[in-house]
Amino acid sequence: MQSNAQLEYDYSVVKLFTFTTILFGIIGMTIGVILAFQLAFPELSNLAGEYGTFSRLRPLHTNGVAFGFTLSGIFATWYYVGQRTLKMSLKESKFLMRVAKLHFWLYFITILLAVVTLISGYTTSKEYAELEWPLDLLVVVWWVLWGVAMFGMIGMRRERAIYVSIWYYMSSFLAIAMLYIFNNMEVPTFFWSGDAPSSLMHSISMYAGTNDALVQWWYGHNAVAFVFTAPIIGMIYYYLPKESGQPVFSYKLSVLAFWGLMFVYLWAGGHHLLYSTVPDWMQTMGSTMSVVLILPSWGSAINMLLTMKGEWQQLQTSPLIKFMILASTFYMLSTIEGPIQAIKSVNAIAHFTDWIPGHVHDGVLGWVGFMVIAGLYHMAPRIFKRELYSKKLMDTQFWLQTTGIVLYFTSMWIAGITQGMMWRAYDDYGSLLYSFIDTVEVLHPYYTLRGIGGLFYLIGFFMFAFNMYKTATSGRVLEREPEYASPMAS
Amino acid sequence: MSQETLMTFAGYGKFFLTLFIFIMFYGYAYSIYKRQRTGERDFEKYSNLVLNDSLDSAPLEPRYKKQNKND
Repeated sequence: MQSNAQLEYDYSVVKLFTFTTILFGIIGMTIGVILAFQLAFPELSNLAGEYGTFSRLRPLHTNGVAFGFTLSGIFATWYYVGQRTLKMSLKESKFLMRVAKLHFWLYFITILLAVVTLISGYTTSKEYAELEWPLDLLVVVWWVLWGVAMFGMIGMRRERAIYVSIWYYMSSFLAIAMLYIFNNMEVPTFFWSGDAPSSLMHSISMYAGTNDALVQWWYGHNAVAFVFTAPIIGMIYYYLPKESGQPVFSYKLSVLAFWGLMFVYLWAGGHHLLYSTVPDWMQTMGSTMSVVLILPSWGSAINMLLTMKGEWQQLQTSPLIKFMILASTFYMLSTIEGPIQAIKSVNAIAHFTDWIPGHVHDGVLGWVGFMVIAGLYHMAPRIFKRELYSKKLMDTQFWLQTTGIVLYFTSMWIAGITQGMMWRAYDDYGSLLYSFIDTVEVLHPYYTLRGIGGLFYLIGFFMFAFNMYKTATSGRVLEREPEYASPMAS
Repeated sequence: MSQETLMTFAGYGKFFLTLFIFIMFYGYAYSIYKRQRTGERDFEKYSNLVLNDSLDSAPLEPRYKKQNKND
């Protein structure tokens, strides 16, 4: 191993993934806002023929924000946090550098192909696993490349101890590898259809009926766990202490919360199938594990809030700290809300209603979105060697997006509970009191509010993109790397 | 083997697996706090992996003996 005196960290791959985080964020969130307004004003579905319909755009939105925006953010921060806490540079290994770059380019091509195929209507129809089999094969290739880069970097480290953030990234790699392969076991019909006409871009699941549903939600819920949760916790365990200059409140608690989360999360997926044909004990287990999940989730979130002990004035002075503290708070909110929804009696009202997307979005907009944004803002002065362009813009973005999130989840809470109650209401003779269209009419104002909330968040995201662009191109050049708080021009 | 017997086995299997992991987890938690209290290992120092993460700073616990001598 080389002496590290003349070495420096290599951020070329970090920059590439930072670019795709912003690009796919813009695409995924713009489509999300269009969808929200389509639900409020259905005539908007007819603007672009088949390509503008809700059914085409919805998987594009979910895949765009989960596997475009969030995964890019995870990869960007991995190549940053990984190098720094392991104390190794990608410059030290030509092989790992090539692997990391190939990882990026294959990933980028896959997501572009995902956009094209999904909008063209090629889909497996499995939620969050819509990509057809040729793309699944591509995903496997770059996921393995990420693993090679990850374990290669760990193998070259100078630090003996592996920081807890790295554990979270590793768990994400291992769990998604297992989940993705098993849920995407599919038969390309073209090769086995004989004389019957079949598209090369078509497949059917290897599982059927209830088994298919079980595997799907074991995957679906753990995609939330290992894309939207574990690596994002890894991020906050690095960026909050680093930006605030404060050591983690309790490292012991971080380790315990990690193992708690790892054990419990994998059993919770059954809560998506309450009152369905899966065995009753599995439904009960899904509910129970979801409630137990509060402990490790809050363990990490409280650990983060206590890290700011004695340093709360930073919340007033730094918009970056604001983003992270609010992210942690939204993590607490959504990890208490999820278990509540997983209780069978609550689920009877909540399931299939708008309370569910409300819950998802206070998690993804407040927790995932804010944390990825904060991570990128923190890295910008280090990777571009320039001061952040505008603190004022960052502050405005923060308040606009926070207002957007609040509008989003409050309107969906009200809409969801109203919907759930109206669907179940019946008179003395057992007849339903309302028809479906009655609920649609009542929900219209809340759908409009949700669209406005989403639009606020999207405008904030454009501000973020602009701030990042100006930082990279015209921020004041820094002579040396900032140690803790990121420098920002007023 | 009948479906019912299989389900019974699965249920007991799940219970004992959970019990086993429960004991392992709390045993691990206790061992961490005990090691910290007796001074056998300081877990809290690992927070510094973030605060001192520049490439030219000395590793907290160097992996290579050679580096130990240099440091």
